[in-house]
Amino acid sequence: MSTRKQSVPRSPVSKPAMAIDEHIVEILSDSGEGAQKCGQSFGSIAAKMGKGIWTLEIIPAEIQPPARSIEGGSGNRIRVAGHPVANGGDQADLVVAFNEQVLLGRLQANELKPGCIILLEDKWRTSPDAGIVASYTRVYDDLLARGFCVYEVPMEVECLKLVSDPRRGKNMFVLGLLCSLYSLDMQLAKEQIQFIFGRKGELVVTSNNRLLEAGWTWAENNLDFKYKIPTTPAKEAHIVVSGNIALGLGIMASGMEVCSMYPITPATSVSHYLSDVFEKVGGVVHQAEDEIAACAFAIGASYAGKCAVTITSGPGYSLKQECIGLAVMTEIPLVVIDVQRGGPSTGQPTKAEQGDLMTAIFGSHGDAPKVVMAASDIEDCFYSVITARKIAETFNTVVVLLSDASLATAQQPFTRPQFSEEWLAPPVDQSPVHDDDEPYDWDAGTGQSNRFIPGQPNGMHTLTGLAHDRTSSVAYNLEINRDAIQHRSLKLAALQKTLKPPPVFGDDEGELLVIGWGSTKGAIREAVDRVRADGRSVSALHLRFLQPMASGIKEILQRFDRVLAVENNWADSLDDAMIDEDNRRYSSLAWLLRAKYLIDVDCWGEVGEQPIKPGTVERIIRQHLDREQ
Amino acid sequence: MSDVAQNQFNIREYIRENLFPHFMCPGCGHGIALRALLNAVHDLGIDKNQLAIVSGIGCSGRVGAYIDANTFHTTHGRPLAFATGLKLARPDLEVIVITGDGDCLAIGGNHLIHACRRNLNLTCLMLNNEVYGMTGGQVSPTTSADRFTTTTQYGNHEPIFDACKLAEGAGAGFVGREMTLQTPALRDLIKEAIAHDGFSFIEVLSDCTEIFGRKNDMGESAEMVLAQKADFRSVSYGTEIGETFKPRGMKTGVLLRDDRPEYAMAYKRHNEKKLKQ
Repeated sequence: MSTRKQSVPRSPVSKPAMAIDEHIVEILSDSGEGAQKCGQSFGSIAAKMGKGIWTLEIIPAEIQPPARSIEGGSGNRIRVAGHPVANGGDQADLVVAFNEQVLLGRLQANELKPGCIILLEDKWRTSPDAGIVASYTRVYDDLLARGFCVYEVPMEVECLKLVSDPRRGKNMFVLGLLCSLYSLDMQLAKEQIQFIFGRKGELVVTSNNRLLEAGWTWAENNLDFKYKIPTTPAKEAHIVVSGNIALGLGIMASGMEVCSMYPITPATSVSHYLSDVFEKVGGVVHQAEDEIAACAFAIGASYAGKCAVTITSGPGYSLKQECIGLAVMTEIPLVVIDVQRGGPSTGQPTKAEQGDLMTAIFGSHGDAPKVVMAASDIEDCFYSVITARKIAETFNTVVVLLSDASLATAQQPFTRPQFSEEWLAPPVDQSPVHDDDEPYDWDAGTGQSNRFIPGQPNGMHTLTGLAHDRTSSVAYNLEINRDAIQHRSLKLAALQKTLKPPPVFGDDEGELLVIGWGSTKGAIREAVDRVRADGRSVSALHLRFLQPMASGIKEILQRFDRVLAVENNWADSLDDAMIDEDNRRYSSLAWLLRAKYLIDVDCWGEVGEQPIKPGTVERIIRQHLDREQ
Repeated sequence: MSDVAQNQFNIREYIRENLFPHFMCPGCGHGIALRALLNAVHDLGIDKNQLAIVSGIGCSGRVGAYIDANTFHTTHGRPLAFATGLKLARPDLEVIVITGDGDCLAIGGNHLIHACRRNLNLTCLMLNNEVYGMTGGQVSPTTSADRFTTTTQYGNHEPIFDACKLAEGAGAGFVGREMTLQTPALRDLIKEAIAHDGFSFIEVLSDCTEIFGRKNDMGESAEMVLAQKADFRSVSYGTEIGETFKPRGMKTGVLLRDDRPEYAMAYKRHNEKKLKQ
């Protein structure tokens, strides 16, 4: 029951808060001890005060991993800054750990800054299990020896004063502790508790408020440090949501009415959110019997005149391929969201990877042109769905929207979207079809054709996956099939003409251009900023449309001496003895750029467990700049 | 009299003659099933414009295209999945699925059992000809024992599915079986199935003369359907006829009728209640 490193209690006012620009905080526990809820709350409170935040979930691979295990650590990383942040940063400055084993996992993964502050639950020191005591003291001594600044916190002891089961309360004690350490607004913290536990009744709220205050008081009295991160209160209302909730909000805002899915990590939480709210705005979430049926359901609903989306992750996306081919062939508008995860096969379901780009573009069979977009941050998840739905319905085509595990559970504040009528789908044309109108009246210029809905007077026709002519009759003639393929392809060309070149981040020309897509935007830009601060010539380009690619990209690439694609997918390294120019497998975007623009794009790809860090990209950029050409 | 003449079923009003000649082989039972379906649609007074036919892949899948309605020729095995989305999005449409034994019971088996379980108001016509005709005569989940197919050159050794028992077990609201020989009975069965509020499954015993019949020396179409007639007995006979006379032990007619709640209505009621709370 003793705390070895207990500071002398002192009055809170006497403890000056050290001003810092930003900190990366991690909260780690066994699965089920609530570290994630604590972390998300900490992030929300900081964001509401006007700080920049980015939160990342640290998720164990299994639902119920063994307690006190290195691989079972569950928790949250929160990057808090006095300015907007767009990624989870590099290494942690302060870690709260509910046991020493979960901490070891992060230590081994090199996620802790040398000498960082560690707040460690001390109950293991007095455990009746000698093995646990030995393990705890060994790790504790080792951490001190390695120069970490370790504080033991009697979380269990303090919580037991208020609740009988500290496993269900420690997280709010820690939240209070962190509120003290980072000078956060306790009133906002209480509002957060009301938000989380309000549904469970007044008793639960009161109990958690007490734990919160106990954590705050303990930190004020026992810890000899305190921080203050600058705050810039937002001028307009903001929301703090995860990428998946932003997708769900986007689905509703886009006017889509049907979301079909089959459970798969990490996409599924979109449907959890929608299942709660979609019905209230007239939408339907349908959990199908399998991934194929989910896609078929969406196509059926879209054929019927609704706007439909199906949402999945890698393996599910593979299963949908045949149906996607049918939607392309029959020109039924469809939005498919693929929240990518580590692959191939079951791979690493909770980990980030941008591995599905090639499948998204070239998937299905035959010539199946479809639009492929990627969301680059949380806010973009929201707006991309609206754009995807619009394109799908304008061009009667399939739009694949790529997100990934690093955006799925990450949180970031962004300006509360102001609803616009323009987001919604125009009502489907139900006026009688003229006798000389044909279902596939392909426009010679744009490839666009009609969309007749069942029940529309005079609109009856056969929709078929077989090659068909303009009347939708089966085409036995090669010329007719060629005509159809050409016009379906033309739709992408027409869309491409409307896409503006993406803006270059940094100078418009120079030594090195780093090009990326999707969730790596924040890390790449931060890395580029850091290197540019040293006066080096590097810029970044981020693609939102991967298929078709916007006009003007080749000209941008040509203005730089070298182009480097940075992606969260596999790239052979030329440093590998077996790899040369001849057999090198490039990262996905690099393949595409090389093939499309005939430019010698180099690449660097990482298939790790965590999202790419700005520090890693910075190192890669410096290596490339310093390398002799 | 003139009223009667106007109401008489004229198949030309329901088919797309511009697509003729059709693709079906001489002696194929699918055309008879198609006629019985259209006759049922006519008798029930369903507006073609409000009729949606969803079909899969195979000979059965091609049948739908000849119907002058909103027809959707989808992917192999999945017509029920497409139809589920279509029907839930547009409950005002009459949605009928045409599928085959391979389409419905092999590659699409999962969709069948879940469609039965949900009991959404769809009508599913499974045209069973015991073989994959379009791809060249491979064994199907309903190919009888010892029959030769291009993938069972020494005779089929696999047990078959009793599709109707499968549908019953999975919870379909209405289950029936009929052979093409009994065309009026088939028409009436389809009428009952469409009128039923819930998922209706009908197994139509069709025959594949060209691919399956020839391979097994079963004679011409007439001989094949007569052999079928000998094999199956209407449920109306009850148990009066001994085993000797119904060697396949399979019955025709309405096999099950269950008025459990239809999916779309049950869904609507459930959620309206929950949203009010």
